[in-house]
Amino acid sequence: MEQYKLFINNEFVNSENGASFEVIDPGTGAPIAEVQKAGTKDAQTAVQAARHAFDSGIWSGLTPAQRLAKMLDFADQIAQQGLRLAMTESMNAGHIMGLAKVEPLLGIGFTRNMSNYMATKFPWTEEVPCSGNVFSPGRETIRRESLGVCAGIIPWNFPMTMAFWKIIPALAMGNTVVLKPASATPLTALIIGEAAKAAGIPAGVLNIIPGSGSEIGKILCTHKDVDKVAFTGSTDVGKRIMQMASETIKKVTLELGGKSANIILDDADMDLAVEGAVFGTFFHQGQICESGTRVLVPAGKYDEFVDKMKKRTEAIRVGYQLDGNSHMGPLVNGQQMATVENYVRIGKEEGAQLVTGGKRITIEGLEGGFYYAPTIFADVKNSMRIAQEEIFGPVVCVIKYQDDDDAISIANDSIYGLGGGIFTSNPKRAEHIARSVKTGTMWINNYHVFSDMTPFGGYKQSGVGREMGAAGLHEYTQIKRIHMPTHSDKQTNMNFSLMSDNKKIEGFAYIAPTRLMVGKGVLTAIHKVVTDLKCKRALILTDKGVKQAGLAAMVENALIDFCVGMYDEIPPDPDLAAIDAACAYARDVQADCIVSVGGGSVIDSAKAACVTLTNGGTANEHLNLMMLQGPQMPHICVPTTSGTGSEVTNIAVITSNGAGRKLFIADPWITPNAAILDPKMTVTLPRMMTVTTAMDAMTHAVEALTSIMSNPVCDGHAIHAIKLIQENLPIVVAEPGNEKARLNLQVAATMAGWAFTIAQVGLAHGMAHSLGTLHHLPHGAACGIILPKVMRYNVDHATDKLASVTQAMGVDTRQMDPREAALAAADAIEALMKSVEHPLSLSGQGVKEDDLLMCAFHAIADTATLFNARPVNDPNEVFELYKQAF
Amino acid sequence: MPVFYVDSQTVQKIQRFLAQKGLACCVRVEIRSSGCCDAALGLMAQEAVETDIVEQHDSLQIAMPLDIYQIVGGITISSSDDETPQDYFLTSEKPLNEWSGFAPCSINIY
Repeated sequence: MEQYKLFINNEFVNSENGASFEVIDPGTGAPIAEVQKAGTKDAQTAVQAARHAFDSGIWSGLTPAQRLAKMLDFADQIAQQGLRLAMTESMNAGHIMGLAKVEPLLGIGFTRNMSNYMATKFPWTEEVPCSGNVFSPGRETIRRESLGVCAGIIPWNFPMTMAFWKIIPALAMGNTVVLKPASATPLTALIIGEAAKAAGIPAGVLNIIPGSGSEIGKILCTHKDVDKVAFTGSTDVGKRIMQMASETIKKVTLELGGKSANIILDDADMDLAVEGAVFGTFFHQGQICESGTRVLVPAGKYDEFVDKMKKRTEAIRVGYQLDGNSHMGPLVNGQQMATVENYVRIGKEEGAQLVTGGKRITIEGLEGGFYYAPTIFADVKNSMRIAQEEIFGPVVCVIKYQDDDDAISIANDSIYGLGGGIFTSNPKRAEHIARSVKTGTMWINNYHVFSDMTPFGGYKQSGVGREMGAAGLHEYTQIKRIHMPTHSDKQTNMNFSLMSDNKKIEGFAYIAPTRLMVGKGVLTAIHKVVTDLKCKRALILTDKGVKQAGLAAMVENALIDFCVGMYDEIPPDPDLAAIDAACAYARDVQADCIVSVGGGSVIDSAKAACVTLTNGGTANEHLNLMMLQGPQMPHICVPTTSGTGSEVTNIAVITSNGAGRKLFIADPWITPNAAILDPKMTVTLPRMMTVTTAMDAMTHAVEALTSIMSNPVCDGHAIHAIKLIQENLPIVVAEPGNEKARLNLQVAATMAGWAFTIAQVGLAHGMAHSLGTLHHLPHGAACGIILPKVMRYNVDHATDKLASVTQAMGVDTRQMDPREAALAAADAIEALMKSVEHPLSLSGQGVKEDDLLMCAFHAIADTATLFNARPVNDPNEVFELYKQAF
Repeated sequence: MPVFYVDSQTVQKIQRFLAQKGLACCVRVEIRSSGCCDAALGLMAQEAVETDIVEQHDSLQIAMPLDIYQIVGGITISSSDDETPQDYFLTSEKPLNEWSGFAPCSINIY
């Protein structure tokens, strides 16, 4: 009789306690080999060998290309053992020769395909271009690494294939393996061990220890040096393995039982369906977990189907597995025979009709073999035990159903969800049903088809995780993320600042890509800008007020032939529906460029529209921060106010009715490509709008200057913007047609925009946003009224910066101490506002005092408030500021 | 020679369970599948039939079909300390398969 030993640390050894056991040929019942029986100590030795091999890096430290080379050698050695593997599998596991002879080929292909994918396509490392964390920018890399020591525990039905499925992915991904084959069928796994040794797979990388599941299984599932357990077998054992493995939080993949439904539709080719049902159930004597052991047949075809299936089944030749004429071989052993007989008895007791089979078969000369007739039960109710419990033998239940929904319901009425089939001539119907059945694999007009590159595994109690395919390889790795910040400086780390009193952020990244065209009559340059952007179909986005003022027509005229339309429905405080409507119009006219003509609402709408048009879907899907990965649809701005700064910023503010507040898109990729500052576009702006939008710009500048994110570049923009507003706003109020003063205000607004798009704003904006969201107060007016109060609130946290505001406002601070100079800034702003008749109180704008507390809670939660010079944590403080402004 | 080896704690646990369910105080051994390979021994709340091997343990009747006894021999039934329903461990003189006694079973009611 052949002798087989344990394979541990590259050697074939006897068990430590000298125990052995015999394995039989189920076709004869006779023993064919004696196998050393691993005990607890052998299991521990194997785990240690695997652990040492992994930790040494001799395998896990190879590059994917190096490991591929060794795996191809392994595949070659498996090929060398091909005939022996096939014969041994047939003799030990009862596989008919037609099946056994292809299994080594499948194993070789699996080894090559998995290893090739591992080395050439598997994403071992990935760069994450947009992490979604705007507070800690930097480089984000994902690495996938081997897990470690992987225990594989496999069943007796497909011992060679199951060995390949556990060994190959684990090894390919750089792990080491301890494999416990089923005690009934360990031989082919050990031959694979011989192939591994011959291929030069390093010692300890693969270990194979046949032995008692209850003894070895416990060691493998609880040993601290085992990192993963991959099990195929019964659901009860799988549950216990999962429990045991949980003690040391091992990764676990389980492939467990099934009671799959093979659904025959009323339009199926009947002969094909019968063949599929027979193959789906009786192949390999029904000892396959994903077998279609519930065949669902429509009521109108039931009798015909059962009759045909009976005839086809009775033509199956059951015989010795090495006899080339056999269609079905023996069951694996006597215990499995007893299980099948038990369930056949239960089926009869439950009232199912035994159509054929239901008995042992005795073959002359092979009286010791375990042959069972393929068995059909009809008139089965899905609630019967024979329909709910997996028999794992050649027994099928044929169940009647009324319509497609009934079939789906019956198919899903199982604790399992492993496989399933549909036989039909209607692919659309098949696809609908396939999607509706809760199972891991659905075959249409076929059954029992596996492919190396497609995943296999179960829903519900059929298992956890997947084998094969890319998904299977992923199960043998773990993920590491490596973060490296843009700045390695404690004063530029926003996270660290949470535990520091010094909130000032020093480092910065300055990104300001907008092409700025400035001057009287520069609108005519827009034509060139469009061609430089390689566009041909410019859509003007604007609002009714701007259109009525004739400004949009001026732009349309300047665009000459490039203008394909004008959409003038942008409302003040645009919401997501407004953006979607603009996008629909843009798609209709096939715009390839957006020209926004208007104030902040129009420009922000255009930014959101460009993102939505570029990436598809609705505007709501794109309310994200720093998630874009490239240029968006080209956008040219023609501002008609002097306040928003949106023509150069990386932010679009949109009202979300669902969220009940304004939300943002913030991303350098939404910064407009170009901005045209022509005083002809603002010279007719009414006095109140001129004044309030200028205060919006002033607020941008002052808050950028005092923000915790302020920096020297933006400070320069901010200070000069303040100076320009201080000097030119009174002139424009007195002489509305003064184009030079108008242009200076436009430039101030743009410079303030550059300042705050990098340095951010602060509490004044947080408070103004709340007033805008809850009470529709125009943004500029709200900012102006609130700004001086916030400046005083911040005085001790931005003293020097506020003093520079005072100086930019033209006030002589030489006789003031620093705090006095800082406080004087708010006074100067208020003086300017009075001189141009800017609103000075919220009550004058229709805001009710009762509304202020709710505004305070909203303002605290506003993103802008995060960057305020003075930390803002108490809503009562904000409430007080609102009251001051009331 | 007894066929069933059951400690008193386990007997009481089974009795309590059956009483809670309002069932007769008897369990019967079965071979059941929980999916895939390797069926296992289990218990069901069922009265003995004429051909069964039957023993009385306190007021609990334990039965086993003769054909199962012929495969596995005598049976030991144990349980863990806590009250989780699914925790009876059945082992036998002749193990049904290599996983005998590894996973617990529950008392099934059909």
